[in-house]
Amino acid sequence: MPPRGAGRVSSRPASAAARGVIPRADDGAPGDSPERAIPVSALTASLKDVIEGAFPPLWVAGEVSGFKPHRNGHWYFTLKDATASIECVVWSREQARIPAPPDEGMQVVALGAFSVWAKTGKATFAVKQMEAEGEGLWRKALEKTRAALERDGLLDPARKRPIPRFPRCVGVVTSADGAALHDIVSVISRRNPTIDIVVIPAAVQGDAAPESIVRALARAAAWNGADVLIVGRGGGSREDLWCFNDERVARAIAASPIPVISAVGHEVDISIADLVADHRAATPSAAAELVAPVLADILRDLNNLGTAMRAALVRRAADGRRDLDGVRADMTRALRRRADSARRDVTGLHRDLTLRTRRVVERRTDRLRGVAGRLHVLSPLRTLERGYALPLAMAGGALTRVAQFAPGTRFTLKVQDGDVDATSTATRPKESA
Amino acid sequence: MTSPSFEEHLARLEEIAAQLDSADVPLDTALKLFEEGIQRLNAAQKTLAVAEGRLKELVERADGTLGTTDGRPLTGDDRE
Repeated sequence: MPPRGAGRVSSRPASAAARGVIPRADDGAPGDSPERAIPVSALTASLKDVIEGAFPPLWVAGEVSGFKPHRNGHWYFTLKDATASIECVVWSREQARIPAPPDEGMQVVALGAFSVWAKTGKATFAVKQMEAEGEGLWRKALEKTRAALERDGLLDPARKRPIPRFPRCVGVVTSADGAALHDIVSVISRRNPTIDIVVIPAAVQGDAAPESIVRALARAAAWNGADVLIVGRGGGSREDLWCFNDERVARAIAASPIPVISAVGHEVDISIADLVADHRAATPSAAAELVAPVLADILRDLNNLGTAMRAALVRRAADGRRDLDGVRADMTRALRRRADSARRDVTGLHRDLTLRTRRVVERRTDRLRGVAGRLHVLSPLRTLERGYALPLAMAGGALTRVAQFAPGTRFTLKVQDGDVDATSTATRPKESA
Repeated sequence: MTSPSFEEHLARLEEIAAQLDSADVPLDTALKLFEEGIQRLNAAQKTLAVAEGRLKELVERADGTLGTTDGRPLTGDDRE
């Protein structure tokens, strides 16, 4: 049962009083006599009007007991102190403003108003906001979201992608007229006016903010024209910043195909968005500095690279020349070595040949000497020395047969100390011959 | 993708410079690397020279496609 709008509630007490409570002078008031008894429904309707009109929304302190989220989506519980208790309800559509359901026994303060169910006359305290001691509900909500994301591995540091060093286009998911956008634009244009900035407008506070940011991230992904996204807003109250702790926003950031930098305008607190983003910047300006390298630095780096390349090539060429010189020297040395060794070979061969030749000659000489000795022994001259004579034909050749000595044949008779001219006078062949 | 991005140019340039520095690159390879490096250097410098950043807004057109407004240059009143 929805609580009534404030305007209507405040107008009710007078009419309720007129209908049921204050007796009228002429014919009496309803319910003031058995004849004028009022129906139960009229009583509970009056109760509803009186009670709902009598209390403005109030902050009430108490302990939560019997908390039960009903399957109809509403939360039911009892708020009590030492001596009293009251039934409470949080309608499902009011729950968005409460960071997390309270725990059993938790000390809370709840902002709400009485709501009377006309059917039973039962008064219920309808709670619109609630906070636990020590910001317990905020912490609990954060922890719950964090645990859910952790369970799905979305907080794994390994998921974090590097931010491109030289983005050509930076997408900014934030309010189109917020301070964050102004800061980002001025920092980027100062550092590097060659970078495009594309605003993907989103509401960054209020109940609609989470869905708005989720849709903006989806549009940025569908467009796919940015190299990196900055998601954030300038500083504000905890409630203002709360959309960056929303689980839907966190999951949308984690799902972004484009690297995301979270830049929620607070220095100290870490938002859930910071945990899932690829990089966290403390402020929108810091995010802008992170994505936009200073143009002058890039130009200087480029020049240095060019210089380094040229120097390396010159060095490389010098190395090449030196290598070539080295090879040439090696070759020359090798050739010289070859020539030397060839020369040594030839000399050796020559000596060898001489030696061998000499040996061959010597061997021949020895043999000749031997032959000569033998020749000498066999020489007919040696026979002459022993007293024999050798007849030789005038034309040369030894005469050894009677037939060669026809009478009158002139011949030479060789003896040991000279020749004798002789003439054959007669021959006597041997009988047997 | 179309032509390489500035980032790709720069990454390759750094790689080339490192390779040129190492002695195990044959000289003809070094020359080719150098040639490529000079080309990339010029391309990267040209990218920076012609680029003028603009502030645009992502809008959804009537046919449901996404695009950006023309935008204004990133100089002038937002400049500090």
